[in-house]
Amino acid sequence: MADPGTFVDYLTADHRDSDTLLAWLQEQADAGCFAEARAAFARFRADTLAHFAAEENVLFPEFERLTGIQNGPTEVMRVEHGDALALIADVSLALEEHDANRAHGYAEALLILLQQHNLKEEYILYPAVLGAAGSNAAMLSARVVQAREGTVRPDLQP
Amino acid sequence: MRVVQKHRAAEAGSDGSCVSSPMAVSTADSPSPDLAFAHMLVGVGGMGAAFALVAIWPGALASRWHPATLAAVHLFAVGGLAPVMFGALFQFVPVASGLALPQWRRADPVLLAAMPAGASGMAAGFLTGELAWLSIGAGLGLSALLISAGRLAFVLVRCQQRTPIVFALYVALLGLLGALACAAVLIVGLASRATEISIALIDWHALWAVAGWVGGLVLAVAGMVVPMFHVTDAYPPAWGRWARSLPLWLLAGSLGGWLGWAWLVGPSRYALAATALAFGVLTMRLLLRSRRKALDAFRIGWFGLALGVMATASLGVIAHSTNDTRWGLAFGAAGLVGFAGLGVNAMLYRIVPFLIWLHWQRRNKARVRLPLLHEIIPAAAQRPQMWIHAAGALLLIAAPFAPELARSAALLLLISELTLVLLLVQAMRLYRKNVHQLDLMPARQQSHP
Repeated sequence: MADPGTFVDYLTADHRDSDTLLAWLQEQADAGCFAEARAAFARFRADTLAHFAAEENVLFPEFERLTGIQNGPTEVMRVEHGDALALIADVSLALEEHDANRAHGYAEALLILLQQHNLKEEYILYPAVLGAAGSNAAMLSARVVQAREGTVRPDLQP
Repeated sequence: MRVVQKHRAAEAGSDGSCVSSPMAVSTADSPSPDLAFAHMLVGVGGMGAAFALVAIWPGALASRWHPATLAAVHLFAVGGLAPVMFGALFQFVPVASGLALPQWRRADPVLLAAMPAGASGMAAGFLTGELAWLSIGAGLGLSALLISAGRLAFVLVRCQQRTPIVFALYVALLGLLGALACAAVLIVGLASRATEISIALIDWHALWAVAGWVGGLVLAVAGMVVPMFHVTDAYPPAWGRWARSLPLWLLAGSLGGWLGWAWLVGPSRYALAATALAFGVLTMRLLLRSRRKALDAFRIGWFGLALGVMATASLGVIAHSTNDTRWGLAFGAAGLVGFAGLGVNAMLYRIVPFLIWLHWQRRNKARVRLPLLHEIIPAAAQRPQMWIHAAGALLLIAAPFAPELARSAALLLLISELTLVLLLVQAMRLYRKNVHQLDLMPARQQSHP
């Protein structure tokens, strides 16, 4: 059986998929193809919300439980999720109004915001959680993946 | 199975941890943008001063030893590039390493002022032949850069992370320290008039600065910026391992030059050129395969940077293989203005609007509409400025072979820098105006999707 990898690999690849979708929707909006842009945006939003939910409901609480740090990096990540959600709402409105200029601007801001956010997660927070999880990393990874994909198994819950 | 697909697509490594404080990953660790902006404005002004000097001084660029050439190079490197690069590091290091560079409220403005002041002193020394000016300028510049290097070292040694980006920051730091060590030996030799100045030492002083310090920082930034902002694949892991050898080639070449071992100097220089060429080719390949197609000033700048580093590497090989000194001048122009200058220009168009936007967002409790990223520095103004810079850089590289081009090149580059200063000042004024207004507005509840 192929090695499924850890949640670090999984969530990192999730980030890359979102980048590609965001770049694509921006390109479509720039070209005035709003139907295509909205379709890409719908998938991007659904993926991003599920990704944030997996982090906030499983990964961040696990980090806080393992390290005892309650108001540290996870809190900062939650604040940045909030910033991203506000921008997602802005992009949504701009696409509904067929405003290519604003859609481009908000999508650009969202791309940059997510890049620096993702970098901190990938290089700092995820490795820290993985290290803290120790031998339970595989179980944690399975829970994160299932939370992300909306298929929670009771036997994997803590 | 989705997890397997994700695993295959994953490219980032995860071999360390750097959470040293509860707020280690906070954007709040980034300093107020005012400090970074001050560094950037001073730096762009320093680069403009270098081009103004070349434009007005008869015979500038006639040879690498012409006083105006030496003065312009130090104005550009110490008074221009260095402040911009340290300003960018204030923002880049916390994101790349999770640790903020320490800030010294009272000392930072002095440290910043010492860079252009030191560069001006050195320029005055070269132009007048007065050793006192040169010594004072070099002393100021060396002190400021050494303290700034110490600040970067302080953060890097505390960081437990061993990612390619952190390694590249180490390369940059070693490059800066190598350039400063060579400079210190040169200035002591000049001041004491005890020994003949070694041309090899001057060569390696320049190579540590351009290939080590600027090259290392560009490698660090590229490792993060190219995949993320251009939406490309990551640089191959083997590249990251190879790039770490940069200080070794610099050290081997310097030792060879010092000891007169030509057999060590040649291969070291070719290895440096091969590394630079490989970086240019890899970057160009990634950019051409980018999943983000918009040809904005940022992307044009990165294409220019990739071409600039390939041109620099090629000219460096030719310069080393021939006795015609004009190739050495062209190599220097390509390295400083084509590679480093264009890279800085492109990054400023991304860093400054994002910092302004980010700090607005943090204060925008009223959720009012604010200028968009591409409106903070108007996109329509960015591209012409970038093309003017590129045209000026091309003419400057050609100027050693056609000296009549030197003034036109310098004037184009001066126009480019003045335009950039104007655009940055407008953006920073807009930032302050809106920050003031946002602080006065009441908060509004906003529902998220």
